[in-house]
Amino acid sequence: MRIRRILAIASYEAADKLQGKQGLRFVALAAALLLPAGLAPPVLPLLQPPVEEAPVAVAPIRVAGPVPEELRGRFVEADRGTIQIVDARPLVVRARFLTRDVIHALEEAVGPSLVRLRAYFAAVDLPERSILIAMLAVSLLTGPLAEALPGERARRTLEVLLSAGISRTELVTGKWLTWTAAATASAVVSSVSAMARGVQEPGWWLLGLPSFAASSVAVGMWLVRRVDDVVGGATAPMRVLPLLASAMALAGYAIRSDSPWLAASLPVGGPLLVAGGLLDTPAAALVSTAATVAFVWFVLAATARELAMLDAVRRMTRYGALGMAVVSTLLWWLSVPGPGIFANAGRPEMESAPAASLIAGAAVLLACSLVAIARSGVAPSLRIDATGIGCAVAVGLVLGLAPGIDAASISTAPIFAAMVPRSLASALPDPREFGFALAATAVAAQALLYRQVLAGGVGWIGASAAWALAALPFAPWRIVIGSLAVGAVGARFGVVAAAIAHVLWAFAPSGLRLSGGSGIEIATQVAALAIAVAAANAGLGAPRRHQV
Amino acid sequence: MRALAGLTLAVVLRLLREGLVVRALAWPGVLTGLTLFVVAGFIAVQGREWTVVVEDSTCNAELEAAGLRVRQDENPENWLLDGGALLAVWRENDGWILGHVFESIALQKAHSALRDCLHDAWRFEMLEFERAEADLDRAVAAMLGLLAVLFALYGAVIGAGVLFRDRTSGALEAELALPLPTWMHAAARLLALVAVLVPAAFVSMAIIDALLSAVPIGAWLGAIAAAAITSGALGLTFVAHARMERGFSGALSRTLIVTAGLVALGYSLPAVGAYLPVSSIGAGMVGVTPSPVALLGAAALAALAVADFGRCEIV
Repeated sequence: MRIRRILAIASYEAADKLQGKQGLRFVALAAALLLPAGLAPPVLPLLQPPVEEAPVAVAPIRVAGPVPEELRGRFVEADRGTIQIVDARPLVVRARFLTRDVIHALEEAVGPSLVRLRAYFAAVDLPERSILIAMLAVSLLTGPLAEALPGERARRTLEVLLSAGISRTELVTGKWLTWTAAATASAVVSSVSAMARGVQEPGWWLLGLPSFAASSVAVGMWLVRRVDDVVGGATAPMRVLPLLASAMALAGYAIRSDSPWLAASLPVGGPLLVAGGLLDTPAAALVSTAATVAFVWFVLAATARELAMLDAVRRMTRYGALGMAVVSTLLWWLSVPGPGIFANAGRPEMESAPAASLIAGAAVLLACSLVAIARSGVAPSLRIDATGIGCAVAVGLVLGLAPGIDAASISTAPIFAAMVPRSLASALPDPREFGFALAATAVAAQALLYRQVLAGGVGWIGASAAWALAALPFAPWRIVIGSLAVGAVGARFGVVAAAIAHVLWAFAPSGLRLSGGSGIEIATQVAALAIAVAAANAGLGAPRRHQV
Repeated sequence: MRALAGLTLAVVLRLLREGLVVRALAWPGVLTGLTLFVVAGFIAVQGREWTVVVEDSTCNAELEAAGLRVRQDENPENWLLDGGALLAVWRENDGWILGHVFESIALQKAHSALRDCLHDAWRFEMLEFERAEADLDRAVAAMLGLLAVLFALYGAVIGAGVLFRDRTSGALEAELALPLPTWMHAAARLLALVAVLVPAAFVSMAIIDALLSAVPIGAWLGAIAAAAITSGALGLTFVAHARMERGFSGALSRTLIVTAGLVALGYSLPAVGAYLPVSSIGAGMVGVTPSPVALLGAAALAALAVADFGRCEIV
């Protein structure tokens, strides 16, 4: 790498983006954000010695229920009292929790007690003001990062730069240098004002400012290395950088007492901890700087390697379909069986109603489907002929004869026990439980994503297996054959036929279902699959999916 | 109107075909839901027992019966000072000190158990903790507020970026050559922004509602729609007034600053902010329900932006 060329690119970048009124605007914005951050007086209280619950003068305490005569004055009867007085001798109060004023009133009424509460401030290391300064300085770069590479691509000037007598690494490094310097200068000015104001003492945290800026800019440029429009170039750093910095900083915070050097060397997070004064030794600051240099070199090299590529995926490939399947399945699991986790976390009252889960799950699947259809530009065919209807009804009715799957018959780890019934109820939603509209919408959403969108990308067999795994992750083998039957109907007769079969499978009343064990369950699903495959291979014209 | 619908659909399709934009829209819901689930799962796996450090074993049985783990140590107060424990009990002078770091269910349990054990002057029967609506509502409001701020910022980015991108790619010139009023091009972009952001916000909130339940989706969706329209209109206006040589970053930075400032206004003055677009998000974060009136303000600002676009020089 040639230093003069890197500096030439840096000065080109600065002249292009920071000259004239643009530069003045950037400086004004930086001043508006960072100077108050540096000059504002401290708002957090310093660590204080432990305090006992200080007595407060309050209005009479509201009691739900009768108040003994000797306690009137400090306690009054009220419709919505916060406490109940269960007994007067000894005085017993019943409540979810006691506030300071209630305790004080009780002490006044009865006399001092043996037990006293005392609040302590935990010995927690809090970051200094400089951590805010560092993050704000980097946040100014959302727009410049969107233009550094994506903007050049959009204006077709990147090709011109690449054809000049400079290497890609020099190009990327020059741009990185400009914005790292801009963020560092902003942060340093704000820090100097903070030090002058007495908000923070000078220290090794000053080394963390350029390190954090350098690593953040490098990551930001890597995120947009293949983007060719400014919208995408702005959203990627905006959503990823704060998360990455927070996650790495938290990880470093957790391990810093055991291994401060490892914490300091974490990419992005280590410099942020140094900048925040949480790793305030010279050794940690120097380790962080050295690790940042290595990290930045590695990331810039990776960025330069991919500079000639474009992120212009338009049609859903097999991998795109798999990615869509993974994301939609994850979101379905979060929405539908996911709330069952609260039962095991000791808060069963927080478990949401299955209907709310089903609404969220259906919304997720519909959104994923519509996005996939918009990106592919191929709308699903909603036509269906009499043969398709007949086949769908036959398959659906046979599947509806299968014995209902009992959640108790599915053995799983205790942590997942509350999730099984939720999964079952949503995979085959009962209209008597959810209402016809919601149940039908949920089935339609599942059919659209798995029988149309995913089947187009990975084939109907793979899509059917994906549905079984998504719908009943704890025992997909119980429904995979039925899913294949529905999938075969969809592949031959279209998504509407698949939805009809699925609806009939889910909506079958329990009185019509055969009784029996797993043998009957498998037999009915196999029979349905046989009907679907026979109808598909009956030579009744070209498959619906392939019709133009 | 058909032309407006067609233009809007074209912009929507262009947005959805950007992989980064789609991933950005999925990000909030996935991240929030996953975080909630992982935290709850961690608690489920770890168990729910709290530890109280005691000096004297007199009340160990009562504390354990209350569901607390008891640890013996000769200096429990040090555990609190060092951050090693959240609850500690020791004798001091003629009484007992129940030291704590913050209010918790475990503190109430320990308090109740100690008073019973020591036959104190007054006792405390702790009711089983039901879902504390106010506490949960505050936490949910803060979470939804952060989500809404992200979508408001998305509105700013998309509002500014779509116009800038179409200008630089030449698509805007091609559209302006059509026999349509100029304002329709700005209106189409704002409508496309709403059509993309509001459903994505609904899906994200539906996921959170499924996990936490009782999320006031309607009020928040209205606030997000108002914020997206307003920040998008601001971005559109700033980019429309910027010339080609000024680039994108300056206009975007101004838009983001104004958007963040409006959120901060709502956070600081929620009684006022609840009625203003974008500021209603800040008000919602502190528990003041965003008002539907904010949508009217957003619509008015959008109309101004569209009218301004129609008459300003944009090339």
